[in-house]
Amino acid sequence: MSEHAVLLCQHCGEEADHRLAYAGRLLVTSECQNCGHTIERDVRSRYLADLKQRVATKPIRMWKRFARHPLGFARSLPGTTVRKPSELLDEVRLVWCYGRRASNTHDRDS
Amino acid sequence: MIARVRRRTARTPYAAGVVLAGGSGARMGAGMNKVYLPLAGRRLVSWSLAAFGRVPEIGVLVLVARPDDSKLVDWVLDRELTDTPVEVVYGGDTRQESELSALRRLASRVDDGTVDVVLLHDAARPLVSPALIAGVLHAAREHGGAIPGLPADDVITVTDDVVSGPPLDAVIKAQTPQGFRAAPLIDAYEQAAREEFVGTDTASCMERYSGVPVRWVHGDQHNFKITYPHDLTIAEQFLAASEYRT
Repeated sequence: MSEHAVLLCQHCGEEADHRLAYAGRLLVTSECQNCGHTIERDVRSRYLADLKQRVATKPIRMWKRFARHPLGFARSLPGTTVRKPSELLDEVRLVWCYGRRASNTHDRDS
Repeated sequence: MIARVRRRTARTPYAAGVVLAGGSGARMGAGMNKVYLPLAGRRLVSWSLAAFGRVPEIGVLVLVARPDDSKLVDWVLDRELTDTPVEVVYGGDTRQESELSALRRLASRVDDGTVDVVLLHDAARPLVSPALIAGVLHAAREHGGAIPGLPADDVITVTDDVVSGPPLDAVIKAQTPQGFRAAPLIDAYEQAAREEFVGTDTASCMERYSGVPVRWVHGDQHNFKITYPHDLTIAEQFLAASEYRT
């Protein structure tokens, strides 16, 4: 998952648009769109622990969503079921790609 | 929009928590308002709303948002704050206008005595703890006003790039939530609006238009404002270490 927001860049000192990429609950990388300064994190081990917890709590979260909006939940289920494997694969790719890079260039957040 | 209103059986006055998620229009750019960024599995804004929701003396919780963010607000309330009743007010372009919108929403409850204290909090400080909120609330109830802050004993004065004075004593770095007795707070904001005064924060408006004493409450190191991208990683690690509780 990727988001954009205005944050203060610690490198160029400007309040600039930043692209932030997440894998589950973890921020993997942020990039200043003004100067290109990037923060890359090696979150590989944390990602696996986080994924395990997300999988374990998924049934209850799905049930709660169903209880609140049964119709909306039922309508969205087929699409979500189709999309989820590729989303997960994208997450894994993101985590391992930036994890390797961060560990090669001294992880700035560990 | 009123999402849900908390029912109370007793008629003792309660406090109102106001979470400001308006941001600055000039800083928005193409991206989203930073208070809706994900942080450790939920949006920034919902961490502080949930913390306020866990303080028993907070009887009403108001979220002040920009009209442009209405879909995000609905999503956050529906997905992340199912057990926390929140009233939503769509605020103005400046922080002060947003605060005034929230205070006007609360005005009738202040007039009839059901709300006695208002706490105003910046949604960009997601790690505020229920303990700090309760501390500010009690100090505001007792003294009239309270702001949390951390001692800034390393601050010195500089004039034209030259150090012009020794480290300043009695300086604090102000945080939020800032709490005040509700009636003088509304009066001060209404007067400020009439005179078109724009303060730097809630306390500055109160200092100018109210004689209510404002007490300093010791703040919390973790209650920092998300400003740099790196702040998000620090906040995420803090939340993971505290098992996702503030």
